[in-house]
Amino acid sequence: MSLLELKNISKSFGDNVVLDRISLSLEQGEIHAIIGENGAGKSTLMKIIGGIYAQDGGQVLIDNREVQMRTPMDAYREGIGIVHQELSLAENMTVAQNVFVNHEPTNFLGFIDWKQLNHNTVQEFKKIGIAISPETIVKSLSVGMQQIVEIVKVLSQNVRILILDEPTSALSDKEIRNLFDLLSMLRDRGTLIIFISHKLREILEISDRVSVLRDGKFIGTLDKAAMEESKIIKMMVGREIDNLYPPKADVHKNKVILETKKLTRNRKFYDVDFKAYKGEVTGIFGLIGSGRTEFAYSLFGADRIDSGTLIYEGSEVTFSSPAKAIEAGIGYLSEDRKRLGLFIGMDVKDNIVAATLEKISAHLGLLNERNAAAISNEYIENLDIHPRGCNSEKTFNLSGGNQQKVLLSKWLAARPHLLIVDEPTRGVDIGAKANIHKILRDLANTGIAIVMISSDLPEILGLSDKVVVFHEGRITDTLANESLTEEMILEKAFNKGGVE
Amino acid sequence: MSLKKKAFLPGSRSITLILIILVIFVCMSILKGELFYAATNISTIFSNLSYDLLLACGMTFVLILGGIDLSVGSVLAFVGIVVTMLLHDGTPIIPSIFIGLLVALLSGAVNGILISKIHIAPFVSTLATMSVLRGACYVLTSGFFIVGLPESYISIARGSMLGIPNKIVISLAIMGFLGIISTKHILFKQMYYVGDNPRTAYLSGIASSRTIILGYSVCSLLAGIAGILMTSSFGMGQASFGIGSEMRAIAAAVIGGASMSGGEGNFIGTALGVILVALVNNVFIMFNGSPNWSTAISGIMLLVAVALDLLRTREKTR
Repeated sequence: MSLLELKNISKSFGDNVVLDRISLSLEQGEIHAIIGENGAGKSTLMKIIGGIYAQDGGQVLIDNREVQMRTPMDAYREGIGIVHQELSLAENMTVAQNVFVNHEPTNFLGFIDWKQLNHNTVQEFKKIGIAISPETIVKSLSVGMQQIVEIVKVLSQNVRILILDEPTSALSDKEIRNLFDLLSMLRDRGTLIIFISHKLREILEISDRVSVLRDGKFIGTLDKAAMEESKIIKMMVGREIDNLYPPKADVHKNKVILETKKLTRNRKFYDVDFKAYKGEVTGIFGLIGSGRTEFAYSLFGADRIDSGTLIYEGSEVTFSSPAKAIEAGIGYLSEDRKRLGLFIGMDVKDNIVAATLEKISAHLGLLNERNAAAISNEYIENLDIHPRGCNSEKTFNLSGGNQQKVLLSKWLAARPHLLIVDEPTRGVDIGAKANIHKILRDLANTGIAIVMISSDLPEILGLSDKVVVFHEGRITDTLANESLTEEMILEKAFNKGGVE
Repeated sequence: MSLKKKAFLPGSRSITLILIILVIFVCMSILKGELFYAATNISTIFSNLSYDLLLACGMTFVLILGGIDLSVGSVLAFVGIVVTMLLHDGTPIIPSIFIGLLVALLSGAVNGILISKIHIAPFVSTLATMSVLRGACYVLTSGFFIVGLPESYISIARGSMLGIPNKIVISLAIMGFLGIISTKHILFKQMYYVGDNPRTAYLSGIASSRTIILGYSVCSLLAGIAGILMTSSFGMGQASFGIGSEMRAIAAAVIGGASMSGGEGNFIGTALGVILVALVNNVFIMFNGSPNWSTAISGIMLLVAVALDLLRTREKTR
């Protein structure tokens, strides 16, 4: 009898089918890895098990009993704990307060027993071989350490099923080692551990079984004996990758449009020497917290620069605000489409012309509505945004991929000379993804400089002419994209054997 | 979801409001007969209309920005006091009005600067302004009315054009002008962007501070104009003018389609909202016989309108 069984789980967001009848059996006392490319549906599946999303169809069974979980609290009651990729800690509170949030030890009057709280926290951390002061404010910890706090917080709930969504992405080798020891120990005690990761090597090392998802479908499960790197990759990809990406720039003219010299923003990035070239896609890769997005913010005038110089189109500049950078011909497509990219409650046309309002308004600042509609229609047509003729459709009604195209249109309409795109295909289905890659390459071919920040390695390799790797706020290497491999980039991103 | 259906939706709220207003009119005429449709009652209903139109119109801008302005009632009173005191002291009409409007503009600009530059919550900033200006009214007048205004000033609001009182004509003209310009002019159009998502607006190169300051200034200016019309119509300045009117303005704008979470609002809807609020007030008075209910009714309508708005927007973000 399986501890956790999923039967025909389906989930769609709008027209976008994220999970298509997934069935999976998971046993007590195993470490079960779930692997798949970005957008394969791993996180969505975990969120359904964790009570964050409700499935559209199918059942979740625990000990052969169907369970309905509407909130994360329901999931906890069923003994399911989930450690998310994104941290969900109260940054201004102490480690102890975070670990025992909602189940603090109390004295007989119901007041929090601080001594006990801190003591329990120390104990929980001891289990994973880490000594920490329970009264440390979370904000002052490194991202890696915050991740550990997050894991300990879930573990303290005595969960039977522990889900870890990319738990190692921000951890050092030593921290990963401690985590793996802990996971082995928990497994031996009978806990089911569901482990989501991009990193094959980790999966081969730690997991007892691995299940592969691709484009929202269940592909298969392998036992420890059958696990082979090449086999898993074949199951994950299932198609020729080579044809997915448009050809690179033919000639590298090496015409620099933007250059930074020792650019520094304290506590974010340091001494960054970076160049972007006309007609090329410069990829920026780095792990969470490596300073890549912060660097883009400073280039775009959204954050101040503490020292160093920024040379754009031949002259030294400082942009006091994004408005100034846009005026100079720079665009920045945010990684956070809903919060920082789109005006989600406004219609598609308003979004597309948002960064070019001044340009399309006539004398006295009167907007030329017909002009705006024409511009918007042009991009809806060229970028194949669905539904067709969605000029006056509210943007929140569009699917993720189409929203992303609207966001891209906004920046294309501003006619930039340099376009920085931050995770341009996050949360976008495969079809739209290839489409966006082609658009970016076509843009570069017209002479525009593209800087693409991405944590999607195949995307970085498939699209970039050069790859710049960030590690803890510094550039560790700039690589020409010739016979580069994912491993080579990842090594630089982890700064293996590198010098600080 | 078909696009065709969507295209009809923005107008559907206005149509619903018109229907509701008509139904109330018909029902009341049947139930209360002449008591309701007598000219005196109708003019009672519409007596506050011109001021409320202006206040609600200004409030619509502020709500589009994702803010709120609690100080409009106090600005109305304060500008009224300033203008009538100047007139009382023999200052000519044009300069008096000009100074009054300047005071209104200044008050709005101060709120806008506090909110956009220092990031004080709009609710707190305008609550403070509301108190300061109301207090200033009491200090300046010591509680006395300011009377003895020139006849030509009084005729501004009391006169009429083709049988329609001037104050209504002026309010509707201003409102119509702003309603048209709000979607056509870049400065006003930017309010929708800032209200929908201030961070995105900033990252799209939209001058959000300037837009916010403009919004609060316009809102305050309209309250100032209402103050001038009110003092002109009553023939006196009084420190307690406009108490509680911010409540009706917010309720009317939200009923008309403005969202408390910003980015939405339209001026036809707001105008209908003003009429509906006035009408419902009157209905309750008719059944209760006491105008003392008025403030409570406005409060209830505000609660209902905001609750419905939240339910609607929650649906939206799902």
